[in-house]
Amino acid sequence: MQAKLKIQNLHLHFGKKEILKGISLEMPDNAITALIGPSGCGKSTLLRSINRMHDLNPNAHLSGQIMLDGKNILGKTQDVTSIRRRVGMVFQKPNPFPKSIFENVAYGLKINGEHHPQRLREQVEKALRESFLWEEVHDQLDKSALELSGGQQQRLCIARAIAVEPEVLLMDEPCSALDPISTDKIEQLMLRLRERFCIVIVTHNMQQAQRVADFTAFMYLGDLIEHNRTSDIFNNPQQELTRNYVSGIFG
Amino acid sequence: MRLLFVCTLVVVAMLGYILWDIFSKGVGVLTWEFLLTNPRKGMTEGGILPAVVGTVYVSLITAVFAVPFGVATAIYLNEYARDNASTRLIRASIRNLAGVPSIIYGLFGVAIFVQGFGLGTSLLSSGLTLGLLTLPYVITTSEESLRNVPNGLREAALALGATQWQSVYSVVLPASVPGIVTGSLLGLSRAAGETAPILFTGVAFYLRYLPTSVWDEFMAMPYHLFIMATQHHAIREVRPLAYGTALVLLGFVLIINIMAFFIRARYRQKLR
Amino acid sequence: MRLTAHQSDRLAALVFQWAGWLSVVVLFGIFAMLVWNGAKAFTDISLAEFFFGTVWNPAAFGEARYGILPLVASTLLVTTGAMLMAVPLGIGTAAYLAEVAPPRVYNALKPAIELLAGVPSVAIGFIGITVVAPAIAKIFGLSNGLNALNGSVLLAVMALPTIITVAEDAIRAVPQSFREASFALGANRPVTLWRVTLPAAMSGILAAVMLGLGRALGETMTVLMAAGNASAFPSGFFAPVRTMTAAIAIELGETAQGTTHYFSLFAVGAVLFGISLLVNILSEKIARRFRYKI
Repeated sequence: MQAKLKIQNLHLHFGKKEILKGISLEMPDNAITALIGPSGCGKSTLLRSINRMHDLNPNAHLSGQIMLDGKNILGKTQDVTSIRRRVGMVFQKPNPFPKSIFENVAYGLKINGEHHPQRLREQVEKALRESFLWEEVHDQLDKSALELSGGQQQRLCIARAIAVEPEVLLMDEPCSALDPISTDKIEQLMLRLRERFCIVIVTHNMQQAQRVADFTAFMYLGDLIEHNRTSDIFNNPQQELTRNYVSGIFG
Repeated sequence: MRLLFVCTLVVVAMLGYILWDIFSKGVGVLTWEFLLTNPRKGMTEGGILPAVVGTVYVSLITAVFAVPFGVATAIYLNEYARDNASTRLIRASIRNLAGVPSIIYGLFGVAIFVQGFGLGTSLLSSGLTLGLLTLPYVITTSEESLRNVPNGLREAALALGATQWQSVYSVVLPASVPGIVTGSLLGLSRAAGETAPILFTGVAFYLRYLPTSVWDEFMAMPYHLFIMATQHHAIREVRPLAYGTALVLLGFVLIINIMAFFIRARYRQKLR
Repeated sequence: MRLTAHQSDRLAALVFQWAGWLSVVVLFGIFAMLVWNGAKAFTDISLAEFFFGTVWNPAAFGEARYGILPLVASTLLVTTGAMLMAVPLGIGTAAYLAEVAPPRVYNALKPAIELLAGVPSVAIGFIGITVVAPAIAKIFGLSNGLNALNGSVLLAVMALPTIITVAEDAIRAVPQSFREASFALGANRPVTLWRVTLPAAMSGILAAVMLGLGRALGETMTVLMAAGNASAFPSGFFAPVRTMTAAIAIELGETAQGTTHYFSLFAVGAVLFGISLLVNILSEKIARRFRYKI
């Protein structure tokens, strides 16, 4: 089976500093891959290169390849907006637009040219149902998204991301700003969404990685140290560094 | 420490005295008739309607010019420009434009708008001149409110496949509108009180009719006050009218300021 | 024709870039216009007369004189006087706002200062005529208070908000740890303020003073209305004066276009532009040093 995402020898420099030192990693479809490692190991940077967020930074230089369904998305001829439509992203801090709940979810659909009111309503409802938010907000879709709680906001951001039907969903520490109950809801949601997407999640929380991830990749100082089934990483790590990290000796 | 308090007291007392003096001596002539009728008998009687209308008109033209260009420049600087030599040149130019004396803008208006472009002495020439004067102010305040839009919103839009322009006009701009409006209003209130830039570009001593197009000359409150205070043939007799004009001008500027203040306050509340 | 998302993205980027360059074009345009028009005056006047002549009397019948020195001297005199008053007052107020004022007082004073900045210069000039000048005449026993001193007082009022706002920011930018270190050594608040906080904020305060100076140098209406408007070389603070700005404002309206007098006013404008640009650049240099220090 071909991997959904295949990263090959990816290097990234910010100015003169090398942040990613030749990462090669495969991520299968319909599975959750967790990226773990101590702060500054480059896991968020790696995640952000998968939907080309570094394009915004003139100092960032990427080399190597990231293959999505066998096509290199770092290629100069690749259209960055269409890549980002295929690779959705949820950020560390919930970042709903200061608009209504409906407008938030409809945003991605609208910029993709969908303006038909009936179809918009249907797709917004679908996305909200899929993110377990529909029951809570269906009678207040015109309310400002900023009035939702932090956990609801993050689920709204997930709904917003999946509304445009991406193939890959990137999540950058999606629960780090949330309380345990909200975290639990989002983890349930991830496990559901796994059936439809290739999910990559960055997390600081090793319990979280064990609860949700099928595969786990451990990174350290810009290198990929070890990548395996989650149970193997945590119960039977092959590398000394990995063992020390997952057992809490450093991190 | 006491000395510092005395300094502050002096400053506040000066402000208080200015406001009180103008208010107490101007309020006597302030009637609806004063606001809504033309000057009469060689401006020794009657109201200041043409000056009020002229100031409103010229401020509107100023806004039409300064706000779009100012906001566009701010968008360029905050959203597009990279930190390189040409961006630094643009920023340095804006900072220095802010320090150019207003009378120099007046000279520029005469040479370029009135004569060079052949717009004549008109509302349009004066509005454009004041627009240039206000431009740096609008740019600076707009850029600040753009800067206050969290980066997460831009990233969220881009991550959904928005182009940069889509993210700017559908997310970043709406989020910064209150700040831009506040800044623009403050800039306009300064422009409305300016005299030197309109002196040779369109303002008139006395006009019997209100301007009907942007090509007409106009009366304006600051210039009218200047005339009533220094140039009038019967300066002592018209002093109460001058005070009335000063009060209306100050009130006009103040109302714009207060509007800006409330927009800012409401916006802050909303963010919370 | 409808643009695709990409075409409108490219177009928007271009439009914004053009808008950005507008400011550069305007600044250089102002400079070029002043030089272009000002230079035409020198077909009739010698550079030496313009820059070193001590008589400004372009309207004199037969023998017009175009020495800019009296105007420059007036401008310098009035601004110096203004700074002598505004700098201590402004810094004192800024220090009070930043270091002493309780939040409630601060929240009342801050908008008041902004309000002062918003008072139109004609209104200040008007107060100068009706209130300040008579007061000066009375105090010093003069027949008339419309003189350089009056102009200075009014310009001080105009420069104060700028000085206060920028200096306050500079004082606030001094790290709290500086003050704490001083307190820990047993210094009280006044000593800490004079010996630690103000010196640490010095370049920011200097920048504030320079910006206030720039504001005063370029101010037109107040000095035009209330400083006496005599174009003779000023003899002191009690002499009526005509600054560069006032000369342009009062004389441009009275001269025919295309005359030597007309162009000479653009030359005066060019000198004024140069001076204020210099002040601006200097204040930026100082301010930049201050940013790096903290």
